[in-house]
Amino acid sequence: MQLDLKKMPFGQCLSRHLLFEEWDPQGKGYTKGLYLALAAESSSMFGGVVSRSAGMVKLTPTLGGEELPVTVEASVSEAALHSGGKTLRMAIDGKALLLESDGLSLTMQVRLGFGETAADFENGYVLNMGPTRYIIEMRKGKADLQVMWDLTALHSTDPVITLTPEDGRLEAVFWDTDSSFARPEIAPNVSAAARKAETAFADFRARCSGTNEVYAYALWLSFQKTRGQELLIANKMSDVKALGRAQFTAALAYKDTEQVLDALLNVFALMTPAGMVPAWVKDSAILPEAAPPLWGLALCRAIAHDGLDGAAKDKLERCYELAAKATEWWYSNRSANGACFYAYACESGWARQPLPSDATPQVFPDLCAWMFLNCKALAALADKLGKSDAAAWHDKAKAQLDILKSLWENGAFVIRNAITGEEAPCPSDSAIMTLALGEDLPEGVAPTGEADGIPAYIAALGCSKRAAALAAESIEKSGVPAAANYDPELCALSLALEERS
Amino acid sequence: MFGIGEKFDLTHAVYAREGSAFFLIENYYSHLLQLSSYKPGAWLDSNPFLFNLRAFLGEREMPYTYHGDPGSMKLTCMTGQLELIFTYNEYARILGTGGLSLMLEASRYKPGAPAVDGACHGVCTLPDGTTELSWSTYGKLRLNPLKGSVKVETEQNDVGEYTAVKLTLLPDANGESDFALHEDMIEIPALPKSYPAPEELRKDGFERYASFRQNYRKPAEGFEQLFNYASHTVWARRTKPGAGGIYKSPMILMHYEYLGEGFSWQQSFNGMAMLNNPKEGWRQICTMFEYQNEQTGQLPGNVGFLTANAGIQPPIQGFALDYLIQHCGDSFLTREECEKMYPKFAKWLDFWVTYRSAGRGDVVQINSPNDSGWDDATIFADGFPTVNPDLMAFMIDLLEATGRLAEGCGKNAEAEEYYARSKCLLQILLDEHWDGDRFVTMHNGKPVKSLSIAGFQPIILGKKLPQNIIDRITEQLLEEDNYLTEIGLASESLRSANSDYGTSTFVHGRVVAPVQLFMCAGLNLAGKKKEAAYIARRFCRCSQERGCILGFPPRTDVYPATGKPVFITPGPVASDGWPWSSWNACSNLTLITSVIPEDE
Repeated sequence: MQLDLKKMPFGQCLSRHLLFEEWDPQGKGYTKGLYLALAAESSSMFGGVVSRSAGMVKLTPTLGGEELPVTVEASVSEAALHSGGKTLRMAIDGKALLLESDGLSLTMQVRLGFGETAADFENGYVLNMGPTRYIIEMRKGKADLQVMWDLTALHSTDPVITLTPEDGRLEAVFWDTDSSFARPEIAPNVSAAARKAETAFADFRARCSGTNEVYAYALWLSFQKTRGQELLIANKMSDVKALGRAQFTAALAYKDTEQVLDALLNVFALMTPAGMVPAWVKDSAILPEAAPPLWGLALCRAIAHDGLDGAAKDKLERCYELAAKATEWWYSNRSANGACFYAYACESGWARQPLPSDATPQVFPDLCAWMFLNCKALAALADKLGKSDAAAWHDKAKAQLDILKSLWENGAFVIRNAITGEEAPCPSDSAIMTLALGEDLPEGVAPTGEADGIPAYIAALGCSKRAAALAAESIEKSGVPAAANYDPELCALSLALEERS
Repeated sequence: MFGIGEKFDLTHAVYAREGSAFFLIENYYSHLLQLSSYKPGAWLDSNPFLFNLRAFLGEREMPYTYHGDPGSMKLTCMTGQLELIFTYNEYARILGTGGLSLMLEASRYKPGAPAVDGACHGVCTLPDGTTELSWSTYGKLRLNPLKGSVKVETEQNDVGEYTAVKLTLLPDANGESDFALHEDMIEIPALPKSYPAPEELRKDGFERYASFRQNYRKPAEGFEQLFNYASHTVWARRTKPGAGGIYKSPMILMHYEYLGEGFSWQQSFNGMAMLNNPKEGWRQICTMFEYQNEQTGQLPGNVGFLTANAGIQPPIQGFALDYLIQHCGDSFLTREECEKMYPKFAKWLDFWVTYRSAGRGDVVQINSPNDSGWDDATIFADGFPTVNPDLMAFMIDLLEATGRLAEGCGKNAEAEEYYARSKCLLQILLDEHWDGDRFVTMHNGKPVKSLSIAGFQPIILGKKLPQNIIDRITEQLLEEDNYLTEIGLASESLRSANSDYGTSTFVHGRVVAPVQLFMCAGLNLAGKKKEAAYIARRFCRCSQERGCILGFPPRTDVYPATGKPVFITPGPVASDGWPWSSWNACSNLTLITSVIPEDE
């Protein structure tokens, strides 16, 4: 598979290194070209956020001091720059990006922010960027750094680093490390690193539903350690948030039950002491609002797949305990008379929309559906684990369906004020997503209407015809350019739909 | 202490108290009080978690005067009073009389900006009758009406973004109101079943402040007022451990409006001022070690409510400990304390020697100005890496302090090694960095030409320095119109063509508090007590008159060396954009309770 670096970066699961081609599609004035980047939060020396576009280092290959036309090739495991008959190859091995050239030189124009510096370091240079130490380690060849410190602006002038081959060879390793400068053992060369990456990706694909390699790559690429957990990042290029919702939808892409449970346990590890799964987390911040409670959707899918027979009991126990706690949070903090509500529109997890009744909690059909699935999954887990509370979860699941039914009036859903009982028309995203219940959707309830993006894909999970329709054509053609926008969540759902159809 | 008709109002300072997240300022443009919280670590200019306080009698907006003391802030109108009592817990109590309502109106600091933006994710009245506001990563507020009711007014655009949020705290039928305003960064926990009486809460503020003041010695005559403001400024920035954040013991925030975090070396500045309670001073110095990286020994650059920043600040702890010991003896260094802190100090030292090694012994080099604390000083004019005498002085004291702690737990052989290393590094400092006038910074082995006062910072080594060096530094520091100005010591010589007093500069010429502390405390330790006090009085007089502001421009007309005009944009906070700071306050507290009195 060849990657189009204008659409999707070359990177790796759990690595922050990225290589991409900036082509400024939105005309924002970004300088076009090939860039190295780090999927990182930028922070200044005082801890505040430094704003910069994704590209950190602009790469310009040269031959004999001359800039010649360059062609770029990238696979899942290796990227290559061809110019003047010479090649510069790159591969990633975790914290290291390895680089080899058979004659090409490389000019690196670095962009640094407030308080950031570039300086000599061992046999190369170090870029001091907040907590990150980006080390350029020369293994073969020569290097030169041009930089000045701007005293009153408190930052370096943008450094220019030139790497030049010696005896026709250039070899370097770019390290993504911190103030400990820790550099683990890595593959000895680009070819070995590429083989490692290829194997890792193949293993990941084997655990995913669907066959689309690009979607699987987008999903694989997007994992990063955040707050100690391996989480799906919204976009390594521009937004390193780990959305709570996205962890649940990503879990839908797996056919491997253990993988589903691991994904859920990773996000449950972020729960507040009270049991709220946050809307998103970064290393530096947390959005302390509830993510939509979609764990039941993923669990029910895994239960339908193999009855959870493929999972270790202790993992099931842990998952049961945490899923129950997360579910109870909604009953304790977001319910009135058994009906769960969104206190804020954004708790639904999708597009914001004005609430019909100002400053009051609203019962939405999609939330009823998610709570039904959560209780249903917990009942199944309790059964499997021989727990006594299976019946109680069954009852709660049934009660949620009853509430859902009560929101269906005259052929359409309404939303209901949890305090006053006042009703208002239901937004179409919320209505259509109840289709994800599939055969569990109460008789006579048949929401129709349109939805875009993730809600449409989630709805399709409950309806094989819709799933088939969406999966049959590429996502790009359907007007949701997942790969072009490098949206790992949509890619995960697409893989799930392929299986469903 | 702060208010209309007081020496300082809240256009210059912040109203806050120990252990509370809330703070109040007076908006420079509207003159309304504004309420916010330090916990998100937002910067005032861009903070959307900011609420105008507006008073109403029925529909009529009422002007108010205000007055704050350690117990509460009172807003007085013609017909009644509104009172905000910040507490040591995670709520404020808001009381009203005379039929007054208090409106909390989401706003911004600068005029013209939208009232709220995407940060407001919602306002919701919950089934228990409380009203919660969710403000994205800035935190949550929940209003619990104990007497009166809440009126919510919001406006949303087509995509559900809030464009206006107003919460009005309405009085009951008797014209009285009583609310508890809870805050939390993550989730508001279960609300208390009952609340203490307001009088108890006010009293708690006064008592805690009075108790905190006992950490300091009596101020020099004539500086009592500065003592009051400075000790209150530090106390009001003292954090409460726990409360959902990562503070493990009380730490002192730098500011509220900007950089609302506990900065690493400032904890030591604060500790060395507490000469009436060296045990507490030592605890304060040690606070950062609670966040020490177990692998590398690094201390964070600063600690915010939810996260610690991995940046670096200089290893000042040895100097701070030396100052405490020289003024109070070392009885607070019990064997237990030494056993607890010796490995941590040793590890911190190892961090510098390992990760900032210049390749020879204990000499360290840096690639970032922040590692030395001399952020924009001209000693970095030639770039990085640099070997800094200022940092070397800290290392000399840190080695000695580590030896002292080793000795305190009976590890005499290890102690001797540290002492020997300290002496060896001192010799390198003297041999390689003293040029006859100043200690010079080296860049790639070459001296950097600079007239920064950083070149005198090794004076903190006191009598460890040869007398001729002490005399030469003293002579230059006392020379009028070199560094010495009417308001203290300039951070860059007045004779330097590189001076810049602009609001975004730090040690590029301004007279800043920590510089006075280093030089005056250093002269004091070196036996130049009169000279130290002479300089200190100038800065302390300026602070007493103009407030506990981190730094002041020595001139506002022209730069003496070049004749070029000084351009300082009049800012919205303090005299020229610099806010009140605990860093100034604790520096002044050291100067007025030890440096100046020791001359008397």
